[in-house]
Amino acid sequence: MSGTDGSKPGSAQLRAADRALQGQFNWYPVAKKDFKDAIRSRGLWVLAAIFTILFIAPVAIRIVDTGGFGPSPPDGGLATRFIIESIYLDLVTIVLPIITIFVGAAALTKEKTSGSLKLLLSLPFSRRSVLVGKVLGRCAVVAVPFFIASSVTAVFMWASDIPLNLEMYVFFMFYTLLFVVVMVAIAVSISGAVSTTLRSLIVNAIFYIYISFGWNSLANEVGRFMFNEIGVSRSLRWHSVLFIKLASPIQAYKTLVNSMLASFSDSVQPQLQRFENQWDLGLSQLSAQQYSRYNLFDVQGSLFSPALPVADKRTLCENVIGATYQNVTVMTNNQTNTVTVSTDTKTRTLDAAQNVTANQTQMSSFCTGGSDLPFYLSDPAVAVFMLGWVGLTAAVSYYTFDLIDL
Amino acid sequence: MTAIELDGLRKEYADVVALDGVDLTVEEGEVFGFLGPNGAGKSTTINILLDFVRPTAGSAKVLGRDAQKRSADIGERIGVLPEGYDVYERLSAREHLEFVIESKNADSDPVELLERVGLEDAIDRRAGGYSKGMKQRLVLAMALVGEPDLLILDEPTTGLDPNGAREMRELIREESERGATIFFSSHILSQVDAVCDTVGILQDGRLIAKDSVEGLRDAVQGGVTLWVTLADPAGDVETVREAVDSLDGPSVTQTDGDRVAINCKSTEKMTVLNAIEDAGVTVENFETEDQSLEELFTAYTEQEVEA
Repeated sequence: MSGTDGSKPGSAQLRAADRALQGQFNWYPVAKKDFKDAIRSRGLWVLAAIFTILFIAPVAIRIVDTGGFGPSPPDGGLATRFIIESIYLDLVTIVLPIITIFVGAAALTKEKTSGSLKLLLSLPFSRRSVLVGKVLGRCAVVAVPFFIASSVTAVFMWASDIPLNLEMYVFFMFYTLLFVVVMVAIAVSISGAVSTTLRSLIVNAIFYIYISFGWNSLANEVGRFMFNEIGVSRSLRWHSVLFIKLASPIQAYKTLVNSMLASFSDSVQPQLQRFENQWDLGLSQLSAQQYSRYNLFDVQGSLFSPALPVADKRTLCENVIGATYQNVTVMTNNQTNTVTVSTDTKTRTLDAAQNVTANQTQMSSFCTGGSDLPFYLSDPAVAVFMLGWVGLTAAVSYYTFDLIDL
Repeated sequence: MTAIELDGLRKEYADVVALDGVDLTVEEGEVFGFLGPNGAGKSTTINILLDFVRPTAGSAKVLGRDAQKRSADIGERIGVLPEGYDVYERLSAREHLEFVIESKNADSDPVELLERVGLEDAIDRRAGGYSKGMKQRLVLAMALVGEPDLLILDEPTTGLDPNGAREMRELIREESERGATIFFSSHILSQVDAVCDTVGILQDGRLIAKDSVEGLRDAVQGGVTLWVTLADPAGDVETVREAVDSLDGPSVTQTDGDRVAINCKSTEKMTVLNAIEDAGVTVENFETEDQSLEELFTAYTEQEVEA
């Protein structure tokens, strides 16, 4: 901007890009000004510090407490996955939305109440350009400190000898950034639709609480109602429940990350793996995407979870995520001293390793790999649902913002 | 082309009618003073011109374009000092101007603009620390970016000291000479008559008068008072009275020693003086006592209230 920029290498390209964006998008000057204004605020740097502390502190505490994360394969996958799954995922979904509310909730209400919006709108900007520019400017405002914090965290992990799987970490950063952008866009949009910052904070808080703590029961209730009261098929019921769950930006983000983490794993279903190693029944594991969806239904840790009736689990497995549900029967015979294992398609009888003392029949079931997850539930679709929130809230906000008198 | 065209403009708020059918045309190149007491609806009118507020009925055109449908296009060619604005406290004056220049795709020079409004010393200071008057100068400089065809200034002299108000009038004159149309509102009338070509008076949401400053003076009962000093008052007072009475309109209202006060329209001053001299009276001196617009305005609005 000022004359001093000319001496920096690359600034010519930067200026060319700046001019190109300016010529292309009429919201661009608004976004740029908003970012410039915010980057001066001490709040932004406090934000970067908060992010950094939030990311580093749990890892550091664990190092001090237990002396690290124990042995890990050389690619660092296990430690990185553990840190993301057990620490960052909850941290991001609970704390980040609160931060984004603070960044975005006043974005337009402050301009409305102070009167600077009048200066903006007296320039060649439509109300839509102002809204779009504000949303994008504020997204950059959160993205920059987040990017700084996660980079610092990566350096910290590297420096403290925690084996880091960089690819996994970068994917995690990417999805988290996407999540942050969506949450900021929602906060700014709410700010555009109401008249004061206080109201914006209230609506944002209600939205946050609902989407964080009320969404899953909403999904389950809708499913139950459809099944019990309207009498839809079991398949439609669980399709709907999964669909509603994934429509929440928080659940969508968690699912994308879990799916990504699972894709790095050799064995997403260790029990099935062990079973398969022992009996060689030709059962394949769920794909990473199928696994992360199936796991949304309280079956984690134990595939024999009693949480859902078998009929519902079967429907979820076969009709919804496109996998194969297998009943496995294990029978021991003390006359022949053999063990017979049978699935729906295969039966194997082997000599028992030890003496069989009694005739026993054990039934269990697995959701095993089959064909693919339908595309409307796949990762790209979930990413689209997430971004759909930006469009939806911005459209509602624009409709309201366009009607009001300043 | 007309710079501003209001047609049956009406704005109702929940329980108040702010504008009650305003028709107004401002020609290109005019300096138009939009007068009225506080609460008359001046800012509402300006807010409709800028599409901050949507009218209940009627239409507003700015530079030939519908103010509601094409506000972004209009924004390219106007400069605005709105009412109740605020600046971005963390950005400097230079950055404010760079933002406006970029937004308007103009090639104005921030330093030059800030010199014109007398804010060049604070160019790189954050606007958050500016006084009210400095913020006003900054926004005015922003309004001047890109030589706009139309300047819309809402109460431009409020918040300025007398010196600042004088500078503002100079600036309006300069911009007018450049060819810009200027539309500004004010409730302080003494600041208006010096610069306006035309004034409109708004009261209770209705335009009750629109005329040149001179025309308005005449329209108000009383016009101007012409004081004539006579060389020979003892003999001539009656002659003067007869000469004035022979004209249709003007009349002698009082005498004060060697001076005679004659009430007439401002355009009739020369006719009156000629008539007196034709009657053989020697006039030593004459002066006109303009009714100030302040009084004029009071007279106007009070008449309306009585009516």
